Amino acid sequence: MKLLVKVLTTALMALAVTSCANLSTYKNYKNKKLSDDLVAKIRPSTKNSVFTPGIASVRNTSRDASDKKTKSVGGAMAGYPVKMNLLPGRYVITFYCFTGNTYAFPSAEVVVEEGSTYYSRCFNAPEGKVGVEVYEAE
Amino acid sequence: MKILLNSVLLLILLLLAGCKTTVSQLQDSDLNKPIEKGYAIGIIKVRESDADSSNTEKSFYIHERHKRRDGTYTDPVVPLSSGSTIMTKDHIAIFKFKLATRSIVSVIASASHVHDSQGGESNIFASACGGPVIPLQASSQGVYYFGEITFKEWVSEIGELKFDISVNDSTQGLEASLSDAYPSLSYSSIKVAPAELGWDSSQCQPSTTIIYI
Repeated sequence: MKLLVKVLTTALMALAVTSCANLSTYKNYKNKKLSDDLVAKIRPSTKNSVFTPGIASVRNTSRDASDKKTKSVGGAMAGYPVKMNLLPGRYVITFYCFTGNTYAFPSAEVVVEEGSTYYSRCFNAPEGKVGVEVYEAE
Repeated sequence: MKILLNSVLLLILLLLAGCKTTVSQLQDSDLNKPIEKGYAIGIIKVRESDADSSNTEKSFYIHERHKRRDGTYTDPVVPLSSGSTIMTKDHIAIFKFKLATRSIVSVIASASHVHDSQGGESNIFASACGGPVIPLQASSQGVYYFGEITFKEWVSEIGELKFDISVNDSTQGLEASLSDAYPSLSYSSIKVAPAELGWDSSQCQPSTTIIYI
């Protein structure tokens, strides 16, 4: 009986961890299974920054985009993912930069290419403002 | 009963050891005594006045941090409230600090301008939830000069508010400016260890919001 409880607990924990891991990467393409070389990855960077960059919303502004509406990604209750995979194109991404109870929603317009990885990084700007940069991984 | 009494005494001793300050400002009379094991003497000069730094005395808050393998610093070793503040006098601070180990280093976690006339302080930099720090890298006993520091703040081409320090490690004139106040200091044995800017990568967690229904 004890062994059964142990196995069940471990299985539940593994399931919970896997679920969380799946939630943390937002994939901006529904019902498609795409390999890494066909998508652009946005990943968080906290290098020399006091903020963690979450993702609040994304809007595809590519000329050939069929849907140009802003899509909210996560929220205050559910939390914000820090990773996102995108199809190649031009996007306006609004980030949720947070540290402790301080947060800001800076936006960046990015052009992403398939097979590339990009880092998002929030930073302090003058007059108490917060900015964000998105740069391609070397 | 005896075990209980011994445990209480041990607890008090541990508390006292924990409360012992790891950094303290020094007077000339302190320099006649031998340096305690595990400690060194530090000297920091701040640039008196230039375009970037107002002509004020400075206060430094020194605290112990863990050093990570990637070279950044994180997680205060002791509660943030148990750090120590040292002040410059005539733009120079002399203090005793704990030697660095492989994983624990005393760092300047924040610095402020002290406005005597207004009775207040204005922040130069602070790393309460991560940010820049100035590690006091010294692993053997002695007197360390961390140089004459100038604080700089500027805006980068992407609009980021950046903070940096520049350090003049020349000891020329140091003895002349200190000998009156600190005649007991042995100036020939001063080791020069120019200060470098480090980064505290710890981040504060959001506090919990309690909703009463």
